[in-house]
Amino acid sequence: MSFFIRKNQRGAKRNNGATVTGRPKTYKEKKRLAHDDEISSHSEGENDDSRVYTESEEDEETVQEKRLRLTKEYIQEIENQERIRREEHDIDKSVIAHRLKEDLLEQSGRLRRTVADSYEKVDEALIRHLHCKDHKQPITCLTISPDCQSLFTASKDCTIVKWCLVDFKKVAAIKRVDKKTSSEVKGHKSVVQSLSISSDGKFLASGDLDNQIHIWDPMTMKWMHTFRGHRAGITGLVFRRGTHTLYSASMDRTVKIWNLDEMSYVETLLGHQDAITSIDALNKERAITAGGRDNSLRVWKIPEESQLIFNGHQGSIDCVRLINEDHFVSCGDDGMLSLWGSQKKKPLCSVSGAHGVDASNNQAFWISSVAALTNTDLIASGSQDGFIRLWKCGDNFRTLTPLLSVPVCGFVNSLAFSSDGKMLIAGLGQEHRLGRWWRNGSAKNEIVIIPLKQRETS
Amino acid sequence: MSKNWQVKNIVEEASDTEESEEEQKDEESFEDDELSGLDIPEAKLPILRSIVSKGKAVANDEQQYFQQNERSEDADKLAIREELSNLTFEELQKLKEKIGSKKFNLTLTGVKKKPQVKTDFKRANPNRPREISSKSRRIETKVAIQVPKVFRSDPRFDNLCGEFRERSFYRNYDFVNKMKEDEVKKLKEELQEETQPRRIEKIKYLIQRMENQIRAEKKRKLEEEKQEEEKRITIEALKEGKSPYFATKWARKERDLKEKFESLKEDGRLNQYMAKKRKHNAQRDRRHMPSEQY
Repeated sequence: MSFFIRKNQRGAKRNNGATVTGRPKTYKEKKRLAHDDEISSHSEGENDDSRVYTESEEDEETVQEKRLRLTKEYIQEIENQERIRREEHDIDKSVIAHRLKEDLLEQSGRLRRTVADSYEKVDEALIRHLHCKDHKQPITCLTISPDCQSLFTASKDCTIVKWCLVDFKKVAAIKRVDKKTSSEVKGHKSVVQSLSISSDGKFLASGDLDNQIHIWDPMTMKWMHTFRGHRAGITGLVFRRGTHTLYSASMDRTVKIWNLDEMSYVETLLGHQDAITSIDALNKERAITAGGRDNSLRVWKIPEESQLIFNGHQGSIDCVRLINEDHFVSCGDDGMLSLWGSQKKKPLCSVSGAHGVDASNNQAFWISSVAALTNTDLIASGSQDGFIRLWKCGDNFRTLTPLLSVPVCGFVNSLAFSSDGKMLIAGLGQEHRLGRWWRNGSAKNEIVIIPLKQRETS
Repeated sequence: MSKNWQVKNIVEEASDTEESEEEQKDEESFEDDELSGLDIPEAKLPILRSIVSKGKAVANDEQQYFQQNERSEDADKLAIREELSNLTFEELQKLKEKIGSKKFNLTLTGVKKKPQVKTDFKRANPNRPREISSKSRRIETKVAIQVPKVFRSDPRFDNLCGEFRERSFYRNYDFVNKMKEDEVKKLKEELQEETQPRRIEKIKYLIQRMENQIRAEKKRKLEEEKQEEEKRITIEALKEGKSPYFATKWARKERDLKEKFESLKEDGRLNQYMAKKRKHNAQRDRRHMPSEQY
């Protein structure tokens, strides 16, 4: 069905036959598109602009036949390729099977690659620093658009700024709003702690400490909708990949699910015993949240209405990121960086004092942010010790070895990898994103773009 | 209802939960907070609100609730749907926003909760993460920050403290009286040097109090001595073989009066004392006299 259609290559722009008005596609439109689009099997390296969507039950028969025909064509195609490569006449069936398996995994977004070792030392001269007037206070969160063309950042002065990642300039800003501004001008009244963009780039969600979630159109930066319903500040937002479902985590210990196709609230998930500090999700209908001082990470299985509880860390768990569907990494204010697997309730691997020890109070530096390159073994962590550390997950995610260190100045409040793995973007500040325990006067409130280069493989 | 436009995979997503049994799940039991803050007037949704309040009342005893309402489940659903049909579109929207589109759609279509939802969570081995429902509003027993519970006990009723013996108590804590006397001296010195009026008041009050206490203590000691004296006489009499001596109340009173008389005479305050006594007695006697009004 779907595996013979090549998904878009990483970083390439997607154009899915835009609707007339530009609003999100309804079910009927998608069905129509599915029948109209030409489906063709490709050779390697060609960009694909078409997709097959889910079929309804009535059309199954004809589509089955179509599937069969196309499958046969695809297998033929692979055989030809392999033949050319190996210059043999007889093709080993297992080779084709292996190739099909790889393609399937890549399609479904589950192909795991070990790339960490191929990264070389970062050239500090190529690191870019982005400043602007709207971000005079520390950056709290950032998110990269899925096509890696734009970057959205938010800071403690309640503003959201859009940057272009091609020429590294500010494109647009959403300014702070207070009682005096009219109700037509939309913005945030308090610190924006979370940002997220949907995987098709159609919606940008931002949540602040005033219990509001604003939805913006990332292209025009125009306000679309506000979700009210949370009873305390919103600390995490994430879109489920490939959908318009938004998961929001808040300090009122609940996770709420919102549907952006209908702009409605769907349901609430309960269970945490302390304010939720972070949330993440991939393609599955699951979300993972970090619960702060209740020392638990919870994986929410939404269709089954249940949660899995993982226990670990000694202090507050501040950030959690999914590496792939089965593994995730978390960091806390006890200075520990932990790798987890979905089959074990305790971490698979823990590094304590990952960023060293603070000389002034003899405690490990709090690790404030962590990022993972999806479906690989590369992890980045940031703290206040002046370095962003890159780690490699080895041996089936049972070991964490330090890989590189990039010197930066200030508190690393937010980290993100671009989807093609070529950039690591960090939001820095003079203070921690959650409070003012320290203030590093020599640091600047800026965004740092670190280009990552992979060694040429022979 | 919009569906996801995600490309479906042939391979089913690996699920690490066991197959769900066809358990009869509790029907849509609305949470107690669900309808709070809803903008629709009170009269409009009587049945819905009654279910919510019932659910709130019987929240702890879910099984009882389940048994009671098994039969009337369908009747309830029909009633709810009838109610909803009477609402305006705007009110329907508000209700949907309040309870969430998932629950709202379930009530409209009357579909039972999908078999995916399961209540019995059993993990394959104890190393696996624990699984619980994500919908219950009950707080788990383990609290994030644990405060040690303080147990207090009253020494009067506590067996470990033993029985109260007055004489040994006073004997053990006699040193406090000496401390009081020293402190009174110190306070008097402080009083001479103190200038703040409030502090002066306080010191005066303390001095008075302490002196009263010392005086009372001395009195008590005297009483004790007298009792001991009586006991000594009795014991001596018994030793010598005579019958024991027990003092009557009147004898004791007489003896006390005599002692007082002697001490007052020595101090020279006898007249003053007698005059006061006479006056006091006259006042008391006047009560019993007939009144002068005719």
